[in-house]
Amino acid sequence: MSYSTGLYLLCFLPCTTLLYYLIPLRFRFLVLLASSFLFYLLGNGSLPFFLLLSTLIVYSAALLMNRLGGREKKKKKRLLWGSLLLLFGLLFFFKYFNFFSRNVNLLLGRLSSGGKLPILSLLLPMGISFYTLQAASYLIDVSRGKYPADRNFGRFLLYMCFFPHIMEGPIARYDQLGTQVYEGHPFSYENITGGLQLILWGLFKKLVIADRANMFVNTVFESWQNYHGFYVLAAALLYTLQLYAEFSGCMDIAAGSAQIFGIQLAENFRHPFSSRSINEFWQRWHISLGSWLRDYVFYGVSLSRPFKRLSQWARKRLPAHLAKWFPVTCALFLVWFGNGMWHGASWKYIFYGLYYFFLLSLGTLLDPLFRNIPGRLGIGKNGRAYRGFQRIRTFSIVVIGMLLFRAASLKTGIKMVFSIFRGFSLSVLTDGSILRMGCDGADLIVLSAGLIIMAAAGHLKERGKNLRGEIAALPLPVRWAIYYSGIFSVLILGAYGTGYAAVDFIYAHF
Amino acid sequence: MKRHPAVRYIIRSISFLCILFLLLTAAGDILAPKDNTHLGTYDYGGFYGLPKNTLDTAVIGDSNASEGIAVPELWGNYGYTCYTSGGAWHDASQSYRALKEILSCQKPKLVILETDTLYQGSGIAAAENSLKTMMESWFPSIRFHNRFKDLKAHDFISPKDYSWVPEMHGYSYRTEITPYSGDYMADTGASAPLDPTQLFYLNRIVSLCRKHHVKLLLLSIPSPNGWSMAKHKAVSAFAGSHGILFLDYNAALEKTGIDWQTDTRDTTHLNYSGARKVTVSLGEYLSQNYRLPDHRGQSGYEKWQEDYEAYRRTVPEN
Repeated sequence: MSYSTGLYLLCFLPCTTLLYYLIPLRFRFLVLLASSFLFYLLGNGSLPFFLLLSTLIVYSAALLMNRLGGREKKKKKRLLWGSLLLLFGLLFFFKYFNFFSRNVNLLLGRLSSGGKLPILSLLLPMGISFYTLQAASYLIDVSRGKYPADRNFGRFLLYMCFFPHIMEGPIARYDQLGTQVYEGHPFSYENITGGLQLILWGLFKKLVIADRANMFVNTVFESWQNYHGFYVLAAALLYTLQLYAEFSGCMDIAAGSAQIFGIQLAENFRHPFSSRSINEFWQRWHISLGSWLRDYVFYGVSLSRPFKRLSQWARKRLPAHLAKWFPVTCALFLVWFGNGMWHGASWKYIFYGLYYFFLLSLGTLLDPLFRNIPGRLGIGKNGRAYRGFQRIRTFSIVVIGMLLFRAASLKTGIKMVFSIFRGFSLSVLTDGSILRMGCDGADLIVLSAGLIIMAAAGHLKERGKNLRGEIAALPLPVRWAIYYSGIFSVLILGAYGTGYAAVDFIYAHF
Repeated sequence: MKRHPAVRYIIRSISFLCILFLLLTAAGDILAPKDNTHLGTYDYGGFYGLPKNTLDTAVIGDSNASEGIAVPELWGNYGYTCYTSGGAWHDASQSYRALKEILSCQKPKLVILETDTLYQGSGIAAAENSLKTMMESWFPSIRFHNRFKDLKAHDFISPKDYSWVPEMHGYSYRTEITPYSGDYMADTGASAPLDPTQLFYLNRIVSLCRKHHVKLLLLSIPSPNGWSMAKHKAVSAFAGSHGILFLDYNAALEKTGIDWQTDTRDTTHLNYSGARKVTVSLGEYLSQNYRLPDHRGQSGYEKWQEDYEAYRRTVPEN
């Protein structure tokens, strides 16, 4: 059951809301727990077993670590690593086993060795990539003494399986969400209307923008051999915007659903296309994944004993800039390799992660060379033109990355990047051929208008405007006119129903 | 007097929803097609153009219904007025909607439900689809939302003109041939229970027919890719327990004389040759089991004869 379907929006969510507010405060978490399980069962059929298994492993390990307290550090560490191994072992088995098997078999085939690993028919448990990271963060935080282990299994289970975030995140932290989901929230009209507004905005992004862009994107990516030049560039550009509209739209629906119950989910996107550097982009795009990798991989690795020794070694033997760069780059490698791997079991995803690793580490390495160039050219670093240049540069890098991400394989992605420069002509915009790419004229107008509205809303938010607050302060007729326009935009202009292929949320497959 | 906030919120919410309902209804009037040529796939909405209460038999179902019965033959051979309101991928909820629409302007004596529609989707997807169908029935603005692209000035002012009747009365004439060989009706012991959502709408179809005193016939058109013995058993069990006749041509292929080397266009749907054979057999069955009137030569039915002659000019001589 997808968040943008009628079944979720018109049946599941209203019934859960009604039940939630009908029963006493202290039992309300039970409604969320039961509905989360129902959501999981409806979405994934038979596999909540593995979610329960991961929850049990982490819950028990955290309690044991708590019992050990400050004593027996080695035992605690072993317990932590053992449970992390089990947790990530499940993820590896379901998500990466076949990828691993295929590559090992390929290697053995090349080496003419007889052995062969099996290719299993596996069904990926829904949300495993998300809840595994959530569970790991809880376990590591408990081991670090950030907060004590939770004795209440129901509360911990709800943190793991809370239905608005189980499918696509955001990847929650226990100290931010654990108590929130458990404690009963009193009915609030503002929460209900605020939540519904967010859901409407998410649906607009998903159905009007993302699913309409998908028609063009699919046409090019599904038969990429037939396209080059402007078509490939436009498809890569539209895919970038599609993914943003869809993923951030899903986050809005998730956050809106949670807000209806008085629960605040973490922000996962902050106008990423206004970023002036790749680093900044990843602080604004899929924030919960970036911060997870930063807190548990980058810091975890950087502060480990072997890395401290590596830093000491570098400081002794390398020039100052390189000595600083080298250990950071080693830790960054693991972060970006992890980022790529997390997205999927395919070389293209690994390459996607390493693409950013390469650009970031090269940028840091060459920074002393380029740092002063704008000054020498008399360009102000904070001037509008330079900022614009930085934004376009960052956006271009992101678009190329997205092309590699969307392409069927790494090889295809690389070929498509090169095909942009073959036969590039803007005449396709005027000779009508652009209208034969899955989107007709009306589709392109709606898509453009949707993108402008999304960009304007993002820009205003970036400038600190609280749009929802400002709309709420308008006189009732104006406010309602805006809401009706929103509802009608989704219902009339949405790319759904006859003539449109239903598009699943892309990140639900990760 | 100052109202309690809860009362204020309730009044406000109800007002908001009432206005939304009115706006959606108004939008539906504007967006709904002004003629009945494109109310669905195939010639779905052509029955609206028939004079009121002139239809003896209505066929509902998915593409197998539209392509599997050459309905003009029933007029030519027996003088039965029959229309097929089928749709691509129609599931039971959509067939139920088609029946409701037919009953809004016709009083057929017999409704034929092509049973492949009962296996169009299952599980959560079927439930989702049925909810969509329900919403579309309530709000035509949702069903025809994509017509915003084609809106002209007359969409805002002109009344509807649903007078179009396709010459073949809902039959989709196809002549391609893809030979099939195999035994798709072999009993493998597998079961194909009806999905709960499909079963729910099948029961609603049964109830609706009873309410309107219309006889219901379950019919399975030969379809190697679409049908199986497991499905036959499931539908037979339903028909048996509800006292409904079930005519499965897949299980009684010899009655039709279907030759899989010539009679299917894609191994799922029948082509004209196959549809004609099935219709000849179906006509015989209807004449033996139902008392349907022969309207040939009756006044008010001249258009049926004209359409039949046009059909004959289109299809090959036998």
